[in-house]
Amino acid sequence: MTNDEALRAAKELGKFRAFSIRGHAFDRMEERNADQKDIANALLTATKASHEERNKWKFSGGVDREGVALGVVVAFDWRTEVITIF
Amino acid sequence: MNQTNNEAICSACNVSSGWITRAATIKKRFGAVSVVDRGVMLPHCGACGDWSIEAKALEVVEIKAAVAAIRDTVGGLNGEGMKVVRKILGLTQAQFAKLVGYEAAENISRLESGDREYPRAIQLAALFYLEAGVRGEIDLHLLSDEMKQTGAAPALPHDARLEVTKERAA
Ligand SMILES: [Zn+2]
Repeated sequence: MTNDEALRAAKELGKFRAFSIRGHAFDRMEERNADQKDIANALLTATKASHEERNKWKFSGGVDREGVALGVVVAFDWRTEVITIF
Repeated sequence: MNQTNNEAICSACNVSSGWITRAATIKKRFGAVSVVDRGVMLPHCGACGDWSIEAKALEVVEIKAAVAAIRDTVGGLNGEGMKVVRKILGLTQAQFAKLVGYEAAENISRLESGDREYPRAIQLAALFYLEAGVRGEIDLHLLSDEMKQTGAAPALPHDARLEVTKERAA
């Protein structure tokens, strides 16, 4: 997957909320008062994708529903999972 | 419910040691009030123990937690807690003000940021919609879009056999 393809995939995930959330990511969400709709919005509005290890991608440049910067790390495994936010 | 693939590598710890479906502990915070849900069955990684939940399933957990937070707390929630509720309803401050019949968005903004007591009547109005969402009478995920289109709070289903009228003041 190229960076552009990953970014397109992120927008689809955000649009259809077609992702799962890991417990660790949920704890981070609670810390910064973000919910699953904020993550969907951050994926939809992300402007940059960068490859991490294995099939993990980091999406940045996006915002939550209040316009505050919110980055998301997604693992494209058998399930598409949000593993952390930043 | 998630399908569990026991061969799958855990994206959190990168280990493949199977998945166990059991009740998760999900703690949702509403300002000073926390709601712990121990009834959601989720796949847990056999190695790191971390769970995984679909976004749409998490929305249901959040709605139920919001109902409990308002209903089961004496005096209800503070502004910070009600901001979480508003976000679960998916509404802007202006839309929320309209939904609960409370003048303007600035008032909601003041209530969310200040130390003032958050009026219980507004909390109960929000509870009314949250509970309709739990019962499946309205789709809370569509609430914001619906209000954007119609500019009004959606009508809740009613019993057509019951006719309600209000007398005008003389
Ligand atoms: Zn694991």
